[in-house]
Amino acid sequence: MVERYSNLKHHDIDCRNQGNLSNLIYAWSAFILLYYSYNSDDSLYITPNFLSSDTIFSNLLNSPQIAENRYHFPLATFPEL
Amino acid sequence: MPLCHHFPIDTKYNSEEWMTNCKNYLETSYPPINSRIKEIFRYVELDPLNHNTFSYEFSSTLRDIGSVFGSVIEESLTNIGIKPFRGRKYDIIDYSRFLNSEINDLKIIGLKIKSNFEEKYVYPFTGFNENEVKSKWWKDILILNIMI
Repeated sequence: MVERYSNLKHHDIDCRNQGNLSNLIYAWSAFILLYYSYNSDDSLYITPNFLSSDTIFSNLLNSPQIAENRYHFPLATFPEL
Repeated sequence: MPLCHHFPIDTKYNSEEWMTNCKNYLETSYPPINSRIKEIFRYVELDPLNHNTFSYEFSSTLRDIGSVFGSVIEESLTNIGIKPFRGRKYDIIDYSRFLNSEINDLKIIGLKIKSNFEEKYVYPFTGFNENEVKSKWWKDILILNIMI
C-alpha cells in the first residue's frame, strides 16, 4: 500500500509535466513510423480495421509519395502541434 | 517538401532472425497501444486547446510507446554489432544515428493527421540529429522512466 501510494504521487508529477497530449501524439507518430519501417510488407499491415472505423482515426495518409510506396499511415487530428 | 520517403529497414535485414523478433514484437505491441490511443481520444479531443491536457493514462501510454521504441532499436543495434556511441548503454544518440543511417531524410518523415476541418503534419524525428537529439517528447519519456 505504501508503495502504491508513492507511485500515485509520482503519477501526479509525471502527468503534469510530461504526460500531455502533445507529447503523446509525437511519440505515437514515431511509433507508427517505426512500425512501418520494420513492416514494409503489405501483408503485415494490421491497420485496415482501425482505418475503416468510424472514429477520427479513419483517415489515411494519401500523399503522392506514400501512395507511390504503398505506405498508409493512420493518425488522428492534432492541429498546430 | 516530400512527406515521406521509402524507408523500410526490414528489407535490408530481412533474412536476420533478430529482424523477425523485432517485427513480431512490434506486431504484438501495436494493437494494444493503438487501442489505448483510440480509447484516450474518446474522452480528450485532439484540439489545440488540449495540447497540455495531461493524465496518468497519457503518461503510461507514452512510457509504453517509448519502451517499445527503445527495445526494438536496441535489439537492432545489438545484433547489427553497433556499439554504444557514448558510455556503456545505448541511448537516444544511438537510436538517432541508427535511424539516420537506415532511413533517408529521416527528419522530414512524418504523418498527416486529418480532422473534419483541416490537415496537419507531425514530424517526430525532426530533432534527431547525428550527435544531438532535440526532441521534447523523447526527453519527457526518459523523465517518465526515471520517475515511475
